[in-house]
Amino acid sequence: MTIKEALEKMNTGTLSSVELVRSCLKIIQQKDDKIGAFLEVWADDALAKAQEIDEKRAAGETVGELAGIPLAIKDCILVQGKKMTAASKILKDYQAAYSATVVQKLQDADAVLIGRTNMDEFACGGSTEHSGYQLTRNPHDLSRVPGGSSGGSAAAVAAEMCLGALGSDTGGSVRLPASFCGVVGLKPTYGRVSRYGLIAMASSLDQIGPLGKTVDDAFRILHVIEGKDAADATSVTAVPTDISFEEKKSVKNLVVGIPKEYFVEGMDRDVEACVADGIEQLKKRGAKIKEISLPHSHLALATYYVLMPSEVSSNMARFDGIRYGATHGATLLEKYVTTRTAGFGDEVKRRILLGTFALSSGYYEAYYKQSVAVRQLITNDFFNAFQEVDVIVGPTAPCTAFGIGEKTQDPLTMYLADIYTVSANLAGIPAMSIPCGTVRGLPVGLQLMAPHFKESMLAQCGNSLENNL
Amino acid sequence: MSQNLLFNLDNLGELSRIAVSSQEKETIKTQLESILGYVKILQEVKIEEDGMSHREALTKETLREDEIKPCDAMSRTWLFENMPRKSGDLLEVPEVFENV
Repeated sequence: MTIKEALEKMNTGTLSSVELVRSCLKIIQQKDDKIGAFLEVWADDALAKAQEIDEKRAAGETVGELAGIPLAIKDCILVQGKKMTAASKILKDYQAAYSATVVQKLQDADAVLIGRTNMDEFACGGSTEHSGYQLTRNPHDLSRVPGGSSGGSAAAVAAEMCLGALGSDTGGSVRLPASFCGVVGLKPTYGRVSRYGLIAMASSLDQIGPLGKTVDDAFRILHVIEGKDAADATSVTAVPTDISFEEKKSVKNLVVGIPKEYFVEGMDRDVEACVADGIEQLKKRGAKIKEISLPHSHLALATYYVLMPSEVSSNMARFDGIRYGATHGATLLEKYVTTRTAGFGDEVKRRILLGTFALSSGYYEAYYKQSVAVRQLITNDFFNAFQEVDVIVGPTAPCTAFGIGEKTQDPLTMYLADIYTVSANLAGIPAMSIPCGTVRGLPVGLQLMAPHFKESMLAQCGNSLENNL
Repeated sequence: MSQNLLFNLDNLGELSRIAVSSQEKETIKTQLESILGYVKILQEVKIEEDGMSHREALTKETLREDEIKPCDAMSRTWLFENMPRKSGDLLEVPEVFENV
């Protein structure tokens, strides 16, 4: 059932929120032992909230946009009073002092928060294999990863444990798991959604984004969570996302750009064929397909893997065992070193070391400062391309979900899975992954990218493909 | 540069406040060298210096005034709950300066 369908049924009285939440909890009970999507399920709170919403509806009171809809929250988005760990041992006893702005907005919209989902520790990963607590498996094939870092959220939606979820996307962490799990994942324009209450990974790249079964569902969630926030200076006032799709489903005469750099050696040929079929579907619906060039594409991953760890090393400095977090050691220095060494996992430590190197004296100019400059070149590529096309289309990932343990021995091999997703974060533009078929039973994602604040273009294309229009 | 990395790994660990054990050193060195080898491509890009910096982008109009606002009671309660060591309304921290 989609969010749209559930709202229709609840508004006409054929389904109650309590029934809906109970059915989700039942699926969690039946399947999550094997899948491992949730770190914690808030069953009592969810049922109490569902009951409250049902009573409001029965009394004829006005209810919020997502009234009674069960949603999951990634473990790095704070919910006041709840344990929140960013899947890290260093925060194992931390309880959120306040709620993220997006959580407050969902609660104001009467959504039912059903639990917190597993992720790569501090969002450092692309497979959800780097969680400090548990493994999450792909619901389509339990021997494979769900993608990361929002793997728990994607798996929960794909397995019908909830009707939607929030994730966070720094280099593809909403879109990649959406692709691997066969759901829709949307990274909004940088600044459209407040980051207040998101445990920061890389502050110039992070964005909270929705995952849902359909484009419509993802945009319903975005419509609630977006907006300027005084508590986040990087959030901006933008025209609200239009979720009334009725007049906008046609892609006739929309100009779709296909970057020639994105279809190269090393890509899974079956994945390429699946994506090509998606592009052909847009053409059949009247879109104009145009080959474009993003000439600095080959630098995107390198740029990301200098910038991102630099920001990670800065953001992780606060986890020192002094104000919160597990604490070890006697002297101040011992506390810092022992706490951080024991509390962080290998991938987080690797990124902190890499970032510290890139920012250190003697290397800062050649690495960090250079990557900031190259980031602007990549951003300019998109500005130039969007002079000619309305939306850019390509694969979300060069492959389908890989096997658990397959890429953990060589970090660089894992990083290469981000090759198509990082550019949108570097440029700050919105991007969305939608399912476009399967290869050997595994979902394939098609990625759509649009100019800044033009999420409506993503909705238009995505909705057309999804609804065969 | 890569020949100095092992030497720098101790330094990096110290800067990062992370201990790298002798068993881990070789593995981490190999992994970091692999990643640095990949990102080396950035050095080939010639950048035109246009004088723009992050500092110059931030102006008085961009930033708001610092305002002290009271914290709500619930948030305050949870903030204190999370403190590993406290003394009344104060967070207790280890000694920063040693007696000489």
